[in-house]
Amino acid sequence: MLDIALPKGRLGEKVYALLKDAGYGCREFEEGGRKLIFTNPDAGVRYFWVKPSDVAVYVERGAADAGVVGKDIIAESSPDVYEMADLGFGRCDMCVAAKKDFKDPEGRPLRVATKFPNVAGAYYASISRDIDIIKLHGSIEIAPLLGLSDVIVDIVETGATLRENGLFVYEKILPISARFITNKASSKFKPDEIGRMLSGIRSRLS
Amino acid sequence: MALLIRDIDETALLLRRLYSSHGYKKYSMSKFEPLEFYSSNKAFLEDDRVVTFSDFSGRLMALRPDVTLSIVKNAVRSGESRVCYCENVYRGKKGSPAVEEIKQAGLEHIGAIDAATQCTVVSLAADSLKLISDKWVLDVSHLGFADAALNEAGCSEELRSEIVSCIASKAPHGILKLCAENGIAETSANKLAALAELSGPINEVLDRIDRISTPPYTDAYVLELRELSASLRSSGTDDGINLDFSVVNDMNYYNGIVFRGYADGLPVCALSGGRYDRLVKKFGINAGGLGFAVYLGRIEPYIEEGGGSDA
Repeated sequence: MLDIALPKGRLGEKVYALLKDAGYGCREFEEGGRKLIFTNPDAGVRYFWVKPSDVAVYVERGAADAGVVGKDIIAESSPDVYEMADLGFGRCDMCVAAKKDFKDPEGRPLRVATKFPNVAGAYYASISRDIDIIKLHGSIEIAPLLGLSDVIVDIVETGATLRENGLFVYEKILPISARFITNKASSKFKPDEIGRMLSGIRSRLS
Repeated sequence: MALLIRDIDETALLLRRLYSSHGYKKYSMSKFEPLEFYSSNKAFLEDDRVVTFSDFSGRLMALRPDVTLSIVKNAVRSGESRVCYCENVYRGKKGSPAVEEIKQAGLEHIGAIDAATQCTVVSLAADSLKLISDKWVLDVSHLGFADAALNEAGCSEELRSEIVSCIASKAPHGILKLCAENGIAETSANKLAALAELSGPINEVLDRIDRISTPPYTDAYVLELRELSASLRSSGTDDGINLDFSVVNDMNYYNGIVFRGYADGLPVCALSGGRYDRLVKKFGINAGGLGFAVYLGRIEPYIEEGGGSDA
């Protein structure tokens, strides 16, 4: 039996559709309702919904053998897991965004508001720019508008939210897409089950 | 679940007996060293965050973040050392400003290291896993292959570190993308991607070693692995030992053979180790270093109450 952590939301639905196509369908899952755990013993799979940012924690700690998570979460938390496949969907970019009239205030540290302090810190360290990180948990776009920060570092899919709030993409830092990750120990002790699922996924990506 | 551990202190004692029975003497060391000692050897620390304090003369000290450094420093006088230990190390908790106290048991072999020594130490790593779980896997690799492939590809330091990180997370797609973006030749890119994926029972993988070899640089490493495989087979300990070239540990610290052990019932790595000749030479000792640590502190949270074996 493989335990799979699915990111709650649209991405999770898309991952389930891919896995169903690969032979890992689950009627209980499709019935919907408020349940969070769904099993199909015949296919040897148990799914559970978790918050997208928690998927890597469940997999790293072995509560799930595998899961699907955005590259943004992997880059931010560096979980000790195997990143076996790039699923190619859920595409977006980690970007630096700012107000339209933004000019880098080079004489002082740049104030950066973000949900991704490690990604932002690593990026600015790579270009030797001194920054003041402001960790936020949501509504990042309003930080430059209220003068809390000079720029934001956040994921941008279509850019509509940025545009509606008078911001623009200043720089793209990292392309993001959904990744199939596995627990390292599970990969040792369930190699055939994980290998079969991975082959099923890869054959549907090519 | 197949964990055999009931009590971490009992397991520490069993591990020490195992290592002592192979000639590794118990080594006891101070819990702290001058901060300068760790600062000047930062490249050999997993995490450069250390807990500091002043002693009564005002000298800045640090709680020990690593055991091997202290053992190598002590070996300078004799030029060799064969010791085992059970000690706590103090490190920054991952993704948090908190300090983590991790109990480790392990052994270090400093001196001339030949094929027989490598076989003994790898076998002892496997025997350590047998005390933890009735089902285990020891993944062995040789860093010379990744090093030669990266040199052949002509990677910058920054690209090198990104590719190594993809090898460690078995992400061939990431390697191929990085290579394409940086104009690395397709043959080199495929070899680096193969390093991320090539794993399995030691003999089967040795048959496919050409996929990751860079002759003539890796010829000696192929021979080294074949010798290790033959020695493990003749000592009857090759079952459960895999070759897995995604094991890259820390390439600043280690060179040559490296390994990581997993025990069924534990979602985390139970053991890791390898050759650290560079560290030994930095201390002026003309010899090699080989050792491993069992992360008892990381295993402890997964022990079920009343679990384990009475055997």
